[in-house]
Amino acid sequence: MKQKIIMCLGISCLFSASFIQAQETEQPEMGFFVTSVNMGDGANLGGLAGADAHCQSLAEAVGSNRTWAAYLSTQAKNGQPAVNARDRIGSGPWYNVNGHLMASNLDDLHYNNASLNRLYSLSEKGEVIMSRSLGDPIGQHDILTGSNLDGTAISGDADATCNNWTSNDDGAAMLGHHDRLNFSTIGGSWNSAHLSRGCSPEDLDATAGNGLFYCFATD
Amino acid sequence: MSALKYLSVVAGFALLASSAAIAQIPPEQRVVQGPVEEPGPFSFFITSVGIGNGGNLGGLEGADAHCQALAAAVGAGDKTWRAYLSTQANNGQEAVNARDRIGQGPWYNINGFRIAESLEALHYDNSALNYESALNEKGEHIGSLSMGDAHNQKDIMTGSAMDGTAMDPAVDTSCRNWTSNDQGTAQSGHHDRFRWYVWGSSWNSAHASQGCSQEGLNATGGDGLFYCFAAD
Repeated sequence: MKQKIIMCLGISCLFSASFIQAQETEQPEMGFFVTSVNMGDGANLGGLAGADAHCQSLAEAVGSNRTWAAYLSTQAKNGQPAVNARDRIGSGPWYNVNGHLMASNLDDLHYNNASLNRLYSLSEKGEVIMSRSLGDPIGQHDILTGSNLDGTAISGDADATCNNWTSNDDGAAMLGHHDRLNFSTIGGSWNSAHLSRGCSPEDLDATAGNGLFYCFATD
Repeated sequence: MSALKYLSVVAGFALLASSAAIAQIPPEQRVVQGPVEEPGPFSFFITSVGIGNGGNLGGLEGADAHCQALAAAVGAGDKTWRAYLSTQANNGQEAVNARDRIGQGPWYNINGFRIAESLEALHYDNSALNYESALNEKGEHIGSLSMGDAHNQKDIMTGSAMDGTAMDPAVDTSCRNWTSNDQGTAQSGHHDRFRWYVWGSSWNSAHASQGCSQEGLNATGGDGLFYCFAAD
């Protein structure tokens, strides 16, 4: 009996070793990152089209040939309907640059999202996005989303998207915390934590933001 | 060296290798509590023990009574405790959603650490709910092989979808509305937030159990435990 147990351990060890190897050789393609750099003009991203192009060019620069979209909502305005960030990003699964599963699907992304944190929400180059609460020299933890917790656009007249991502001065943007901290306490939403003070680079910086946003592969 | 001895050595190395692979909670998900955050009143725990009859909890009433008794035993019986469990539409009975049973929050663990501010935060954020914070009513950790414990208790029964609502009654995911200790399954979450050794699992809706017997719950890493919240 004892021998049988030990044999099983040996065999299961072999199985798990080959499983680990298979995982290493077939790393899933990157489908998620936080922009390594901002667009240089506060929350004026040139609208959704400009933001998507930024995602696409950053991804292509590291060799991705997938189709990318920014996780950003826009609000109903001037006769245009609202756009929900969650409806723009495909259906997953999405992996970070190191092959870590960020979310299996849209439900997992919005209701679980345990993997969205400073350790795994990396830039397309695999770099950490800075969090002052976690000891980094600068704070970049405010990520632009313009979205509710469920990934939908924010209703009402109050601006939460810096005039649909075209303003670099007046207005406000809804932000998430990539480090999941509310000051130094755990419990910050990744996509809908608070509004920015304004839309300029200085306003974003004032609450530890750098005009970065999430990018997802839609295909 | 005899074959048996050789195999023992191999097995020993396998155990060493697997203990080296013990999962780490990402630092940003650990219990960090800054000076800005005042500890709050005890209002959340995982049952330190199950009822002991698999998925048969005596229905929601039995489960609530278990929460209440465990809380009372540590001096918190003055609150109204509810099990975070859903039941499915069945035999003319309407479904009950776990999220509708537990009040509005905020909820804090036995150490006063905030688990979630509101129902929305609990279901959409829940970044504060993990092995370190999801303690039992005595302040003890719930067993997790991924975290290096000897005994796995990580499958926490909920019978719920990720948004905290009841599931489609076409498939039993609530052990016959918490009355079965053999047929059916219990949808369960992972309090340690690990899929095996990889970070990123749902706290309330990760997978179904292999059955509703105590052995069936044990088979996938459960012990018949569930979440309790103070509803008032």
